[in-house]
Order: sequence, then structure tokens, then C-alpha cells
Amino acid sequence: MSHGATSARGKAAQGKARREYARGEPMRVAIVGGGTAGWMTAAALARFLGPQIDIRLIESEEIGIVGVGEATLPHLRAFIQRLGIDEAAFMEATSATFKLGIDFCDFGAIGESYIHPFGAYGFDLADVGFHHYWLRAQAGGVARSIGEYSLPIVAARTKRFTRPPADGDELDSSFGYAYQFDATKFAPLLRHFSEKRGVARTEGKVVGVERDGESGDIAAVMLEDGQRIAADLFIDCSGFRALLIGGQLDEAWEDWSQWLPCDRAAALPCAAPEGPIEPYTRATAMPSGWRWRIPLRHRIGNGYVFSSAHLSEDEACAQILDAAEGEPLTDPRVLRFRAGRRKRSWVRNVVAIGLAGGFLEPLESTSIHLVQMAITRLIELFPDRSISALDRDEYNRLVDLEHDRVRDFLILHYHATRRDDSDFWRHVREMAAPETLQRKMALWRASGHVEQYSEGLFLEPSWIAVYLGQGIMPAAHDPRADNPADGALAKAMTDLSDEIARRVAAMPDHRATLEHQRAGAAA
Amino acid sequence: MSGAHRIHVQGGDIVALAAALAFKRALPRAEVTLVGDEEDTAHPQYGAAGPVLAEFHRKIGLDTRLFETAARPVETRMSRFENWGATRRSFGVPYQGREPFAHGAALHQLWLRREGAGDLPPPETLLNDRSAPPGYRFDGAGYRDLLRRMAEAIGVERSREHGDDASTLELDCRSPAQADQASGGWDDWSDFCPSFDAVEMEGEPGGRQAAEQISEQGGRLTLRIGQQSATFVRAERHSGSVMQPWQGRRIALGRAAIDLPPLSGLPLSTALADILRAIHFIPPETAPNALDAVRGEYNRQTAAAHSATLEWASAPFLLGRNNPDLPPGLAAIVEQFRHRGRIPLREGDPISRGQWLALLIGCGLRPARIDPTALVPTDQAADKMLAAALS
Repeated sequence: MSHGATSARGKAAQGKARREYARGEPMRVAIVGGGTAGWMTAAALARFLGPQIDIRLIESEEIGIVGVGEATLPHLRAFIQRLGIDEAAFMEATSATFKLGIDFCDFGAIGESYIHPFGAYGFDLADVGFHHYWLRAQAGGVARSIGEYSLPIVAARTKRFTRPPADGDELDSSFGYAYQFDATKFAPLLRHFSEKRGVARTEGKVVGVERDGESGDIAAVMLEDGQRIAADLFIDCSGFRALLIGGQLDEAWEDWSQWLPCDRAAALPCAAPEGPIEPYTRATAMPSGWRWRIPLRHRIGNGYVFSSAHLSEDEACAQILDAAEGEPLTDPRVLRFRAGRRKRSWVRNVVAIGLAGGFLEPLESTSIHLVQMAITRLIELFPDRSISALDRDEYNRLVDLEHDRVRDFLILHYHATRRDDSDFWRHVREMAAPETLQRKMALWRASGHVEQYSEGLFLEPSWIAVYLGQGIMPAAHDPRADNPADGALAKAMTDLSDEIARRVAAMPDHRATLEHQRAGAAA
Repeated sequence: MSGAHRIHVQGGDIVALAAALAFKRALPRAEVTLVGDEEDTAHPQYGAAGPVLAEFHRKIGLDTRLFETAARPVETRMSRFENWGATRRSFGVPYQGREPFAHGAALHQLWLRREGAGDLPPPETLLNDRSAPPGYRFDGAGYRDLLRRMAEAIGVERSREHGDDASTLELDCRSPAQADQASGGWDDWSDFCPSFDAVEMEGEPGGRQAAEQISEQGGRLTLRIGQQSATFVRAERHSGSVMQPWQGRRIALGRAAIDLPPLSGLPLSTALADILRAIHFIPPETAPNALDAVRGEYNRQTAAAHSATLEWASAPFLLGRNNPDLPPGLAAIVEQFRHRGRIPLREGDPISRGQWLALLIGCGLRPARIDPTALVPTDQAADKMLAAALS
């Protein structure tokens, strides 16, 4: 490449005093807590900031981890990939299965179910969303169920799975996938990765904090054995205990329990049955919340997320024992939480990531994603030793935006219901939704349009899936969807659904895909 | 069956024709009527638009060869500001930008780090999205004639009189919205952004591709492409945008909605984007109750786009001065960039981050620091990453 014209510019530039962006002393980063959030943070910082920082992670084997997020979202694949971890090795280490979506049963009304797929329905035609054509065809009585126009849904229902081919056509590549995995095995994998890249691990319990008298920043944490660990930046991954952001800095918690009243989860792992493995997570509405079913290779994760205002812990344990399929491997274990987030996730020189920063119940498998998003934002805005309010404010703005939008999406699953069979469902149906959600629902109800935004986890296809799945039908569809003749539309709809069924029939069984992958990895 | 709108389009310039044509294409059963005499306050020969023009042509079914024959377009992917502002800098800004990354580092930050250390190409080459459609300078009169013929061919009607008030939708594409400006419904940007009128066209562009060269002297703005120059003078109008572009049945489009400087084909690009957005939100005529919800969302999205576009359009004029007062959105961008070479995430901004970066760097702004990720590679590795991105 010739840079002739540029040379003059470059020479002129060299003549001036240029700004130097030199490396300084490595920044000292202390991560407090070694669960999923802690080790994900350590791994990503080590990978992308490497020599710029010294990372120390403090954890105690005496303190268990919550191990949130057995079910994940497709974004985790990018995280694994960017770290350079082989997918098959990751899946083997964490007993992972593939996931094409979430099956919601009895949410809109008892007896109804829908899958929120990792992909869209059909294809846009003439820049009009497929669902508008479907709404028209359905009104005309020529549409099949919306799920029959989604390749990942049809594959999930028939328990088939193959990865979208890199060179596939539009239909082949109309979906993504995620993992269902044993979260307690994820942190050890990342620990191994991180320690190989220079992350130092300190075993110990944090029992005290030393503050800088002038700035109020945290200067060091004190461990039970007397060790003092100083750092420039502390990352609070201590889970619900929130040792630094809550315990020391006393940052307020924004409570969302008025919209998301579930505050307990009774977890119950069960033995995995023989036979096909569902490539999807199931969420089944219960009288006082909902229960999850997550099929891993070696067991089934079950749990009942419920509102303690509507159901006691003992009753919840009894109900999950009664409802779960397969032989229980342990007694039910109850976790307590509050839906909400810190008013600010980054305060002074402390960044809270994971449960210390916020928690939204696992209805849409968002916990690990919110950790991943926070790590990404932190790397984008990673400070130098003099932490800037500009970086902090921008980080908090972006993290808040993500939490708030996920919050609205979760509330939709409860609020958009026709259930009237329990106090819990009457409460969530009749409560006043956040104004931001009310506006979104009004737009959908009136026109079939989804409020658009570029930043956020759940974009248009997800909102369409849940709106339609919960039975909120728009009063009108896009008038441009009236352009095809009746016969042409009916034929196109039938052809698409038939083609999806044909392609799914050619897919391997999900279990067979997993076994093939294991065999390949072993060879 | 729905879609039987009766749509009146007021105005006679390219925007009005484009709106009539696009609405008729999208809603073939609608009655679309162009109302009123043709008017044109811009120079009739001048036509320019950014990459949205290609999308617009695809949506109205305009064959590229017809466009080439009728409007003799010149592709352009770069605006070059020549001896610009108080600092007399010359720099390029792409019509469509990108913000490339490699190994977790933003490449423009590597460029900033290595600036002056070697023979680097200018930053706009790194930030130019070469895979995006180009923008165009074209013969405005020829293009208008082409749109008029297409509109007639697909059944757009014409009327000199407004007639009875039977329309379900009014698309107001007339001259700058004086009524809105007078009524307080106009977001006045004249403190930040000049308004211009075209006065003169000279020469023929020649060739198929060229950069747009922009210069300003004595209050006259000259946009040169190839051998053709278009000259604009500052107008007495108030630049800015209408606060509620869709009110009742009326949607303000083009100059009725926003008054922008003519840089990089912005006025027509913005109008076309607004037309496509309005079509997206039009509810069926049979569902009048949907109007409130879609109007609100259209106005929300359009206001965000207009505000960002005005920030963008005012930036070269403001950043070319010493110590200018900046509008809040632009001030936030500049503050973030000066801090660490980053553009904040902005929703609804039709200007890509790569374009913003090229403009700020081109105007001579430099950050106090860069991201630590851009300090990770060695000098040699950084140079290799930059070379690979430019190859």
C-alpha cells in the first residue's frame, strides 16, 4: 500500500510534540469472591488486559458458591470463543448440553405453552416482519401455529440439534444456540485458565477493609489469617453478601420486588433419565411462581422460584419434590434473593459484578449474561490508577440500561397473563407495570410493532416470541403485509413450514450430537 | 383487508416525490396524491444523498441503471474538509463508518498510539466502511424527473388544489416549517448550526467515483465533486427540527421537519430515512386507535435521529472554532473522546461511531489517555494489526 499522500502528513505530525500513551505501573486489581462471576472476570481481564494489570482473586473454599445460571444464553459462546477456550472441551468439563430456547408452560394461561427460541420466526419479506404476515394469515385461518415457522422451535420440540452451518442459507442460519451446563464446574475451568495467565489466587476470608482516609476509597482488604491485600481497583464478586459495595460502601439497593415478587428458589437436582435429551430449558408456571427443568448430561436441574409472600419454604420444597421428574439426588436447597440492582454498580474504586451488583430471577437465564455484559463494559472503560468519574458514570449508565431492559422483559412474562387461579397470578396480572413496559405493550397491542433499541439483551424477535406466546395479539398488523394475494401468502406460509419440518427431520438427535462430539474430543 | 389510506403529499421537490412514490409502493391500494404547485427552494440541479439512497431505491424498486441514466450519479464514500475552520485542517470523514477491533483493542486507539511513530495512513481509511453502499452526488433535476415519471406510472395522482379534507394522512414536505418555528414547536439550533441555500452550480462532475471536497470561505460553503462545484450561502432561516414531526394526521418530512447544512447529502438522507420510518409505522386505515401509540414511537425515534444528526452537522462548524459552546449531546461526545478516545454509546444515532471518530480526530482532538487494551500489543504487533486492517 502506498501512503504517499500520507507521508507528508505523518512527517508534519512527527514535527509536533506528540502525545505519548505510555504504559505505567501495572494496575493492581483485587477480585473478592471466586464463584462464576469472580472467575469469569479474572479470566477476561487476564485475557484482554494481560500485562497492564496485576490480578489477585480472593476466595474461600469454606464459602460455597451459588452457581447461578445452569441455563445460559447464546452470548456465552462469544465469551468462551474470545477467551480461546475450545467449545468441546468446555462442554465436556461442564457436562453441558445444547440449548435452543426456553419452553414456557402455563404462563399465559394454564394448558398453553410456547418456546422463546434463539432465533426469529420465518423471514422478513419486503422489509415487513414475518409476524405481520402470520397475523394476517392467522386471521384468515390459513396459518399454522407460529412455532411451526421457527426452525429452532421445531428442532427443540423433536429433540434434535445440529449447529448452524457456517455456509448455510438463510434458513439454516436462522438460529443460535446456548448451553445448559453445570455452573459449579464452570468456575474451576476458568480458574485453571486464569491461573495459567498469571492470575494469583489467595485462599482466605475477607474480614475487614482499610479505607483511604483522604479519598474514602478502599485501600486494602484484610483476611482472616491476617493478610492485607492492597489494590487500586476492587471487584466485588462476593455474591449476595456484597462485602464491599454493600457492606463497606453501603450503596443503596433498588428493589424491584413490587414487579418481580419471587424471592426464593428451591433447587433440586435429579438423576437424568435414559433416552432423548431436550435441547431446551423448561419453565412451568406454578401457583406461586414457576419451576425450571434444565437437562444436563449427567443430571436434571430442577427448582421452584417462588414468592415467599405467597408460599412457605417448606411448601415450596414439598411441591418441587412432587413435581420434579427423576430421582432426587439431594434434598431441596433454598436460596433467598431480592430482585433489583445497586443504584450504582461502580462506586469509588469498587465495581460490583454478579449478584453483588444486581439480581434478576432466572426466568430467562440472564444471570451469566449480566455478568458477561458487566465484564465487557468494565474492559471497555477500564480505568487507570486515577479513576475517573467519567468512566464510572458511563459504566453505570450502560449497566443500568441493560438491567432495566431485562427487568421489563421478565415482568412481561408475569404481567401478560390471563391466569386467575391464585393470589400470586392475580397480583402480577393486576399490578402496575413500569411505565417503560406499559409503553412497549401499548405499541405492540396497537400495531404489532416492537419498540426498538440497539443496546440491550432482548431485541425484537424475543419480544415477539413472548408477546405472541403469552397471547397478546395486536389489534392490527402492518398494512404492507396485505400486499401479497391470499393464495400466494397461504402457499408461502405452508412452503416455509414444510421446509423447516423437512430440514429438522434431517437433523441428528440431540443426544447423538452430544455423543458424536464426545467421541470426536476423545479421539 | 386493510391499507386503504388516502394520502396527500404536499410539496413538489425530491422529498415530496420520494415520499409519494415510497408510500404508493408500500401501500398499493392507497390513494396517494401530490398536492400543490411544484416548488423548489434548493438549486434544482443539486442532488446528494448518503448510503440510505441505495436502500431507498431498493424499496421503491428503482433499477440502478435507470438512476444512472437519468441522474448521472457520482459515487462518493468520503467527505474531505479542506483548510477547515480556524485551524485550517484538512481531513476526511467517511460516508459510512466502522469501528474495527482486533484482539480486543479498538484499532483507532492503536492508531492514536502509533500516530507520529511511523508512516500511518490517515485515520479515515481505517474507519471507512468500504463494504457499505456509497453515497451519491447526482443531477437533481434529472432525478426529480425520474421520480415523477415513476410516480405517475404507479398511479400517484396530482392535484393543484388541496380539495376536501378527505385524507387519512398528510405528508408535509413543503418549505421550512415557518409555522412550527413561529409556534414554538421548532427546536432552534441556529446558535450551533448554520442554515444554507444553494446558489450556484458549476461544471460537470465527470467520472464515476470521487470524494466530496468541502470548504468554506466568506460565508460561502462550496461542495466540490470532480469538476463540479455547488456553492451555498448562509440563509436567514433557523436551522433545527420540528419537535413533534407527526401530529394528528400530519407528518412533516424533509425541510418541513429538519433544516440541516448540505454536508455529505445529509438533508436528503435524513428525509429518506424519515420516509422509510414513517412507512414502517403507518397503521392500517382501519385501525385508527393504533395512531396514538405509533405516533409516539415514531416521534421518539425521529427526535433522537434528528437531534443526533443536528449534532453531527453542527460539529464541523463548531469544532473548527476556538473554544466553542457546544450543544449538550455533542459536548458529551467530545468530553468522552477527549478523556479516553471513545465515543459513548448513543441509541438512535444514524451517524456511525466510525464517522464520529474520523471527524473528531480530523478536527484535531486527541484523548488524554487511551484504553489499556490498546497498550497491550507491542509496537510491532500494533503496526501489524493496523496494516492488516488496512490491507
